[in-house]
Amino acid sequence: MSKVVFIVDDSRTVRASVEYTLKKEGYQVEQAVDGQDGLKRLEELRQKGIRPGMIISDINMPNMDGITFITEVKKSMHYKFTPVLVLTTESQDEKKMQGKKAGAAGWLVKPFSPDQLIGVVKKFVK
Amino acid sequence: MDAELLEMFLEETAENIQVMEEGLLDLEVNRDDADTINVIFRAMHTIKGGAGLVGLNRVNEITHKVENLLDSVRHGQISLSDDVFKTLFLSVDILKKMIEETDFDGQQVASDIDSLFLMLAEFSDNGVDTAASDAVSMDVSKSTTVNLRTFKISLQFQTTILETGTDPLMLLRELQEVGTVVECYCNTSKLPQLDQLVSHSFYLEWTVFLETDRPKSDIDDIFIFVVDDNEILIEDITDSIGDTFDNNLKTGELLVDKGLITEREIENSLSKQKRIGDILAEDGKVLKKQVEKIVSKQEEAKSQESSSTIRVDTSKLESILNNLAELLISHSRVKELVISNMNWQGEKRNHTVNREILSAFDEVDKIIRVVQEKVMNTSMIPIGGTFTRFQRMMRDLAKEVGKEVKVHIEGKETELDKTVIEQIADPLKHLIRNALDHGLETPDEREARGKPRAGTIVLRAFHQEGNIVIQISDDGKGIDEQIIFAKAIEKGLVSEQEKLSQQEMYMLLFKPGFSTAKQITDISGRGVGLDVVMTNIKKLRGSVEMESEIGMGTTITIKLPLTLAIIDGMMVRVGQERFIIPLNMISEFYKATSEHMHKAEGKGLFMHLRGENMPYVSLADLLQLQGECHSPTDGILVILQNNNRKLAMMVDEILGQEQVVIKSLKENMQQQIDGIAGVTILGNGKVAIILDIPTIYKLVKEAKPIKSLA
Repeated sequence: MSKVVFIVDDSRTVRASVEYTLKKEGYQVEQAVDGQDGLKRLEELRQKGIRPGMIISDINMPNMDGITFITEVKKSMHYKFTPVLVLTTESQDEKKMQGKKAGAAGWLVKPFSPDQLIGVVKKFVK
Repeated sequence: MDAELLEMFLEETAENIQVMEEGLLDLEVNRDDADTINVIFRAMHTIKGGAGLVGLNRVNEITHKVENLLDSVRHGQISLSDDVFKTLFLSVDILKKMIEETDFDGQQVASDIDSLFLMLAEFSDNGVDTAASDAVSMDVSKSTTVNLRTFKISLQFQTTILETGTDPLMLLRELQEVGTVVECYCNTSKLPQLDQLVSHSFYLEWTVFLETDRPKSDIDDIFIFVVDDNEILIEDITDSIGDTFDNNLKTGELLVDKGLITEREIENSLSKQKRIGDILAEDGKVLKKQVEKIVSKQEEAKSQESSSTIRVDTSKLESILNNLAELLISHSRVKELVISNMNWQGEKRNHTVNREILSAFDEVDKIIRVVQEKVMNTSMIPIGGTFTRFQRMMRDLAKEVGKEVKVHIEGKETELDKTVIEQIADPLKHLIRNALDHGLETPDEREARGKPRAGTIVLRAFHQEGNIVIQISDDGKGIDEQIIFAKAIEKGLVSEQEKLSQQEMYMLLFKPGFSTAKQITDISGRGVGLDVVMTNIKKLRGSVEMESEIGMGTTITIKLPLTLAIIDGMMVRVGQERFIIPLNMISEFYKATSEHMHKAEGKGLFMHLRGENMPYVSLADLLQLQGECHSPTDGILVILQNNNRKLAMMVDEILGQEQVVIKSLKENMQQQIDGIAGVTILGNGKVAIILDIPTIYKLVKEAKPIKSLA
């Protein structure tokens, strides 16, 4: 399975910390700043023959929010079986359920420790 | 903490603070610009998330609280007042200082933070603290050392689980990481044939036995993302481990236990299994006929065992019955309306359609009755159990009073309503005690009369014309009705002049305050009881009859309706009123001629029918109603029969048979009125009175009209 993890978040700090943490574990991390950018970047990666083994997406983002992004991603045959993780500070079940409904396989609540991130990512990509 | 990461956070946060500041200034001018509010919210939200990641707890705390306020504003719970702006600007200033001065604990702005929190608290009292649960939720609990425990983990995934990106194999591997997998079974029975297999669907189920010293929450954590949509069952079986690995279980049970197959699959397979008899017959070891004979006997025996049952609260059944009864009422109401509409349409009516409508009504009626019967049946239990209890009681009692008794029980399979059985048990007990105490002679007395020393008491139950009949017979000394009569006169219950039939004299026994026993024993003869017996039986709409022969014994017959709530009745009309006569009280209808009617001196009219004389009454006169028919030969005579006594009662018209639901008057009127058993609601919504025939007899005798209807 591809050890590429795709992170979509409007916060540079979050993207950087995800990249930093996962790189140490041997993952390749690709980034996008919002949903719209995420779809564009995924397509670019696909043309280069890179298919992420996992997508992590924030919910609250400008241009295109995380729920819309996940819904779009799950519509695509290329990513139908790709696990998507919802990344948000909003721990309310409602948001989690919205994410799950859109097709997310799990969630991670910010702030998270590097160990938590690795633990969850390893559930899906080994 | 990683310096590079912090650097990035500070840079990003400085930008976000600027976004917030600009946004707030814009918003102050255009206060209802939802987009701007969202921009501000998102900036604050991002700072909050980042602060958590880089471990700046104070910043995280401040942004969390401000975010709450912004969220309330965003959702219109708090309006954008000057106070809100003041608070938000203050928060921006504080954050700016903390970031610029790298004063992450906010020591230099401590007092500002305090006043900010006070201001925020004011709002949160009014608003909703939406992000309150925003704390760290992925709390990896440190596993405390506990003893080794064994968990049974059953995993049934949805066939679509792969589409979420979850790989069940990963979950299984994770299980391996938290403990030792003792046993693992995969149930492949849901795998379809290859040509029907959908490659991205998931068909496997697992049962894993895991031994671990980690708490159950660690196992729960593995399945945290899938537990909502899939059947994940984690049981701590440490204490019952012996049972689980009990090798005495049948193969099938073991397989089910380990999740390899389901019980249904076993049943399916077992149904294909050949019976041992068939195998032996095929091998020529026995004759097929022999096998069949034995099997049929076996099945007969099995059928007597109760099949699978469930316990149902009787009140639930009662409520179903009540609703069915209401359904019957509504049904006949609809029927009546449709029929009257048909008649009203007159010439235009379409005969074929009308016929079909009527037959459809009959069909519905039939179905409701079938359902009613079935439901009633569910609350029917055989009387056998009650009889057996009495048998035991009699054995003990006989010893106590020095008598010998043989008890015969007949018809213990007779079923009646559980409620009826419950309510009849006490009266029966009383009558049985009487039979034993007063009826049977002592063994010596019996011997002297040439009877066997042991008396016989027979308890009998059977169905008769929609009634349940329970009989208690003894072969004792019998009852002399003349002694009863004399005693009743002595007690002032009857006057000497009264001419009573034998049956009526017996019934004096059931009057309050009557007791003929010479000696009051513990068992019976207190002079109370038989009247209570009568009251209880009447409550069940039952009747009591008594037959006795001196020296030969006594039989008491109790007749009870099959069910309490519904009766089959005949609807009759007198003037504008409708009445229901319980069907089991009617022996026939008769159109009398003047030859049938005779006058008795001082007693009014009586009817002579086929060699039998019976009193005559006009229901209209009895109820003091305005009837259409005045002479017995005008109307229809309903020949009533109760306890072998007949009564000819004239009504204006017979309207037809109807099943009616009794609504007790007693519940509403505090008292029972003679002549009236209850009321029912007719199809047209009107109320009809259900006549209580036994008390009608009494009224006729006393020549009293029903007071309440006068």
